[in-house]
Amino acid sequence: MLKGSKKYLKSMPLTLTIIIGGVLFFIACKTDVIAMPGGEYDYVEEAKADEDISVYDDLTDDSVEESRDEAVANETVYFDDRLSVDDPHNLRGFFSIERYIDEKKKGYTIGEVDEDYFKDALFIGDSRTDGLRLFSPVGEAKYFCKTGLNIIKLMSSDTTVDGKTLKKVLGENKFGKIYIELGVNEGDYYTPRWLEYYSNAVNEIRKLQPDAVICIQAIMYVTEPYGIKWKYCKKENLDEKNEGLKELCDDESVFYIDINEAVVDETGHLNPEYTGDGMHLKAKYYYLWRDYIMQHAIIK
Amino acid sequence: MTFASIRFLYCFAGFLIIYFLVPAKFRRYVLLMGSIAFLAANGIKGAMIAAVFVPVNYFLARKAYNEYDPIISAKRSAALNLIVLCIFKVTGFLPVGASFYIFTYVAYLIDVGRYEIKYENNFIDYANYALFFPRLLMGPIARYKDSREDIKAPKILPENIQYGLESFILGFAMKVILADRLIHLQREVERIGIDCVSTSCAWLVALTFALRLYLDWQSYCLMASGVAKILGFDLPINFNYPHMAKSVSEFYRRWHMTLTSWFKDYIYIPMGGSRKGRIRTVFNILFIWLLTGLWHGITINFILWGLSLGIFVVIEHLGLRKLLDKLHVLPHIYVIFVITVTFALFATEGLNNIALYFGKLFPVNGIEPSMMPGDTIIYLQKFWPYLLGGILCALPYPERILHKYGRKWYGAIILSGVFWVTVYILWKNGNSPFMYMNF
Repeated sequence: MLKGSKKYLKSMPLTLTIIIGGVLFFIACKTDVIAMPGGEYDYVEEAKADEDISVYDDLTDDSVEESRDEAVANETVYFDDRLSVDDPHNLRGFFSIERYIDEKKKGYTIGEVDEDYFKDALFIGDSRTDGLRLFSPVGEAKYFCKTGLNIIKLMSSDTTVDGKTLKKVLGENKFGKIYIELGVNEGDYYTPRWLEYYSNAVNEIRKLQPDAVICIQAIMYVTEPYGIKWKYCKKENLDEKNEGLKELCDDESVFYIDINEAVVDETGHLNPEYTGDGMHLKAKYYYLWRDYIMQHAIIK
Repeated sequence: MTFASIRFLYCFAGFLIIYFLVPAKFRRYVLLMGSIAFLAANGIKGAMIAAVFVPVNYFLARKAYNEYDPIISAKRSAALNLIVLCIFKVTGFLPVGASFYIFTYVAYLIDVGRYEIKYENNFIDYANYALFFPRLLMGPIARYKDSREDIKAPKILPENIQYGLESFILGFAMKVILADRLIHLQREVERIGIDCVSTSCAWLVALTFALRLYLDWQSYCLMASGVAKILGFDLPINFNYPHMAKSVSEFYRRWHMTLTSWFKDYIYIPMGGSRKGRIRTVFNILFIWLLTGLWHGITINFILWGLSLGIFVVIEHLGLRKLLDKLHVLPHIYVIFVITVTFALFATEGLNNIALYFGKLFPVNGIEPSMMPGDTIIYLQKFWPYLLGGILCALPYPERILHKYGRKWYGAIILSGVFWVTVYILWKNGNSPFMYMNF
């Protein structure tokens, strides 16, 4: 053991200052003088631990816990594959019964449009949608997108773009169409739970923008080597979620757009030629995505 | 678990308490257990590989020393190690740090075979040399003759602890505050596509990559030598401010010095070095550089990197160096240019990507406009503090100032502040791995 501590401390002041600094750091963290960084959000473990299925979760400002029976009784129903297709309560989670009947009467087609169509469009997404915004903007659409955005935190008051939450953006504007492309960042999230979040988010958007057509874009794939290296976003995970997203759509006011048709290669992965890092399109190839959206627009 | 991680900091703090509290005769066991735990924390396959390599090489060295022709036996044993390393590299089953510690074992075997050292009889001491965790994952490649004295009697002194902490904090800050921020410039441009930005932006990325490679590795070496110093060991210097060099040859005499000297002592000189005529010398230089490229990876970009550097070294050997020695500013520009361009090969994979990158750096077919106008200015505005800090850290002055004033109380307070701010940044942003851990 080192002897003569006084002599030693004099010849190694850094040891003492680091220890004192550590104590101060600890006190500062405990007293909230320094904001403690969050730990890594273990989506998968959280989802597995949480076996309850609620209509809303704690991420929304006015979260409401509602049991399945109460939801059916209140006619705020959600997707339930145990109900038959003809069951009026099997409304796929988006409408009240009256609204469902109203919407059934409307008709939509899918076709090509020009840029004017997107004057009242909103694009919601992560860094890839941000790339679309920067390099191939779709007409004069608005964007709510940023790196790392995911469906789990989408409606949270902590999630802001240019200082505004999504709810605020939806409250301040009237949109005719809303495009969503999210999911790659949470590729290994427990899919059924992830679809619940997605369904709840769309429901929230629906409440704030009742007249908007909602277009759920497929989660864009990554290249095969990227998926091997970063297993959370491998094709199998994204396929599972995309299949679930298809089931969420009713092809009447919520539509599924398979944007992967525009960017994949013969293996079904993102074409390596189109990407610099395996996940994002290169700046000069975002037009493929934009053009696909313009060729598969929902025309009332 | 790398040095620049919260987990390492608190594990090392706990380890140090035990290391300093145990009686001196038990310290070697504590060190060995700490090294094994560190290795296992970086991948259980690494620990399993070491569990085989360490005792096997221990016995091979003893056997070689007692053979009639020890060097033949040592060379066979060394070749066995290198064959296993090649198999690891080709199959992709490469434990973290294997390229470094297998070279360490080869050096030990050959030195024993040459009777430059006697084999280490004490298995625990040999294992501590073979698995010494500060240099296990990314070097430096230490020779046994330079390590033996410390292994037998580590110099645990207050001034060494002070010096070690100073080095560690400098390396820690360099990694977390500078290197880990500069990586974002490269990632952002990769995301857009190197062929979609301007030529000036592509050069900015290339220069930043070369700087970041240095900062990343030098920061590791500083932390490694700091940790070793605290434990009472001296590690060989791996970098001697290579950006001060006036030729490519000199740059690589100052860069990854232990790998360079390994190739020189165990491959280049046994092949004849520069003593067998000009043609043979040229061949030897190119061969060594090809091997150096292959050591980094068995892909076309590393092979091209190694051979291109070999060509520059040959040209300098044939007369250019004499000219460079007479000049003042131009040699430094020449070195920065060559190093930047050759390190661009490090950053790219596949011939297509190399062609794209170099087509942007050298737009012989005409300059294409960037898809993000003003990209160079945008990135300079965003990253200039880290670039400036990185350039300063490539000079000798920060380290000299640090060690001069670090032991004064005001210097210690500042360093302590730097340490805890870096911890907070690391905690908040997470850590990115060291680049050379891939080799």
